[in-house]
Amino acid sequence: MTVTATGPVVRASDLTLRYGRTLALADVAFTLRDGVTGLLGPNGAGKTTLLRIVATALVPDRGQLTVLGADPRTESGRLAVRRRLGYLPQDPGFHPGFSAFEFVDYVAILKELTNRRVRHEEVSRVLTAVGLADQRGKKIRALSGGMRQRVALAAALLGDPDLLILDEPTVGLDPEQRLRFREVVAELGEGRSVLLSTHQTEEVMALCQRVIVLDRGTVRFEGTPVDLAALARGRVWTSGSRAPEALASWRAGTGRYRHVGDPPTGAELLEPTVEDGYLMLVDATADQEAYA
Amino acid sequence: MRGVSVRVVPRLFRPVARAMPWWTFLAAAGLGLAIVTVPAATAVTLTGEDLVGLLRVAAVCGALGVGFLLDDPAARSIATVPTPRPVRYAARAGVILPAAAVWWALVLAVTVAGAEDGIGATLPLGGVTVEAAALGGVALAVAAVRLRGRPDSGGLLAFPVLLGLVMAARLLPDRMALFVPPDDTEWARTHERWAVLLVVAVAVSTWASQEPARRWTAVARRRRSLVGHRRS
Repeated sequence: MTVTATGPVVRASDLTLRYGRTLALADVAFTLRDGVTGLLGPNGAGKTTLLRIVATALVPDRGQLTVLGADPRTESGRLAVRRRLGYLPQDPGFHPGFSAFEFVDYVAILKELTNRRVRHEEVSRVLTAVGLADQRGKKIRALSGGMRQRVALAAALLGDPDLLILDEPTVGLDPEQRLRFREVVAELGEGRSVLLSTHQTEEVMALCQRVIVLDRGTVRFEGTPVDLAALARGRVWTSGSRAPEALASWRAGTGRYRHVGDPPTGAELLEPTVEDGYLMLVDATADQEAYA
Repeated sequence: MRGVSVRVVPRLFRPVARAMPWWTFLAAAGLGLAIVTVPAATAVTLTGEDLVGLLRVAAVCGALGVGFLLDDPAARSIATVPTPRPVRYAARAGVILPAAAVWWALVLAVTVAGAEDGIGATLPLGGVTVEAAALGGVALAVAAVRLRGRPDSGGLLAFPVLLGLVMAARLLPDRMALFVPPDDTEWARTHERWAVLLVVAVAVSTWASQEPARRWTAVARRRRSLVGHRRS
């Protein structure tokens, strides 16, 4: 059941899932190794569905999946995965009458930490790891959105999981809370696998060693953030006015326009970012489908 | 559920009891209790049939409240813990059943105490208790089905479904009737139907509490057996 240091933590192929007539995932295949992997994609791309499948919360209609060396289709495999998994859902729920400590302690019981002393030590450890040691006695209803998110992260960290799945963990956080969260996730990514779903390309650049782009239920890209940015090489340019022919065009802080798309002859090219590469990939796909 | 730590279960009761949304149940149960208190609190003289009617109204009230007790705002946060959903539901049931039993015992005690001399002893308390258990079971089953695969409010579905079923039961033909007067010759046979309803409700609740992954396993098994068939 154990995973070797070099083997993939998650191996998925042909994952397909429908919600009624809507095809949420279509033959999704990817592998996940140690470190932080970003899952990028527009709204409705299937990110949450994919994360829920990997986290054993959802069942695909077909496909193969191995998580941490186990097959979640079997009861014993699912239990083995869950014992080594931490999952932070997109919209985590809480019992508002519980304190932060009580809630994480409740999740710790569900994570089979039955020895009271060991469990309380573990709860204190994870609350400290997310910077909530001072707020442990505070009722969840009295905590800010960012603090609640950290309570949910603390619950996900119980038992020091080998695989951590975070579904848009920074949505709704202010910039300071986001930076704080980023620090915590970066630290967590050392020595374990983190699969992080996000809308924010700067988060991918700051945190992720690898990135998967999901669009309309299919994997459009799998590689490093640098490779993703390189997709837009030679297709990002600047000028003094708007370029209607560009895929995207906006006025930057410098006062000049930045364009992504096919540049005119002699354009002043710029070094592409992850965002540019992502834009090229997603918009190009949209264009291809529009003309198909 | 091989390999699941059974030591988890006793440790779950306290936090689960604290986490459950009691207010709706308490309000509904309080209303049911208030209804059966009427004969004792007033000078109205009620027959045995009237008292059974009041007990049935109280049972419906309690069942409507019970339907909300499976609601869990933290369902998403605990969806992938190693303690599987059937065990988590069992812990909830372990809290709900004693609470509901104590309430129902109180309802019966108040009804008997408020009855005119001699009438209390003739009330068919066993039969009405089977009806109350079946109504509560149906409410829990509908709520469990609603909560299968999505964190939501089970009570929001159980409430109208249960009310609808009670209304529909009133319209059933005599040979299928569920609510009959205590002196009706069909009383015993009717309560066999109630018992069947209770068993069905428990079976549905058990099915609905299973992990969704069972479907995948079942599909995989079916495909394997189909492949086996084709190969053989």
